[in-house]
Amino acid sequence: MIRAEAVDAAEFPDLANQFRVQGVPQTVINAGKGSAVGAIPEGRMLAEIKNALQN
Amino acid sequence: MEKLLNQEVAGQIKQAFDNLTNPVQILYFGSQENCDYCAETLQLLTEVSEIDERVSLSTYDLAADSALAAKFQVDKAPAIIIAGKDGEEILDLGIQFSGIPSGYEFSTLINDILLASARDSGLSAETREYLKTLEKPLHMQVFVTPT
Repeated sequence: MIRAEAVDAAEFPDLANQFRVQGVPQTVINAGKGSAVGAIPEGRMLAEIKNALQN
Repeated sequence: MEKLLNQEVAGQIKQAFDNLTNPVQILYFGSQENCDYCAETLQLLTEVSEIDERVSLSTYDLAADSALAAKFQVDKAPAIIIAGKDGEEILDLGIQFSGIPSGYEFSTLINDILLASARDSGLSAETREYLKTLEKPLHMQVFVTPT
């Protein structure tokens, strides 16, 4: 149900470009439904996930 | 072939692996096509798995083992799945690394192995409660640069 994938942005530049990744770390949720830039605390990540799943 | 991990680093990993509880299965997916870092990634994983017998490595090819790749939702190479192991059964924990875990990301790989062994996400009760209620799949891709 839940997959967490670390992606090397340099090795997969097409994917990084597709999601407009400009800085790292950047977390892309469900192929662009949501996005979070930087190393953010768990609570904020949870809010981003909730938000993304509503879209 | 020259080792990627020097003795000092291998010693540190051995120490970290003292805390392993459950066995861990690493699945490596490589490709014959257009994969600059496949060989190096495989060598790195081989050296890591040789440090502790509770860490096993199995190697696959994205094209030749497409059914298994699909099962773990692997669509690129090199890709690494960090899974649990229960006897002969592989437990998919949803942990994947796409690309070579070198530089700063090497410690992410080691931490992933420790996490998979403990089978504990370390998340708060609130987060766990919410995630239990998920009705559709959640895929989080964390873009990183290993240098």
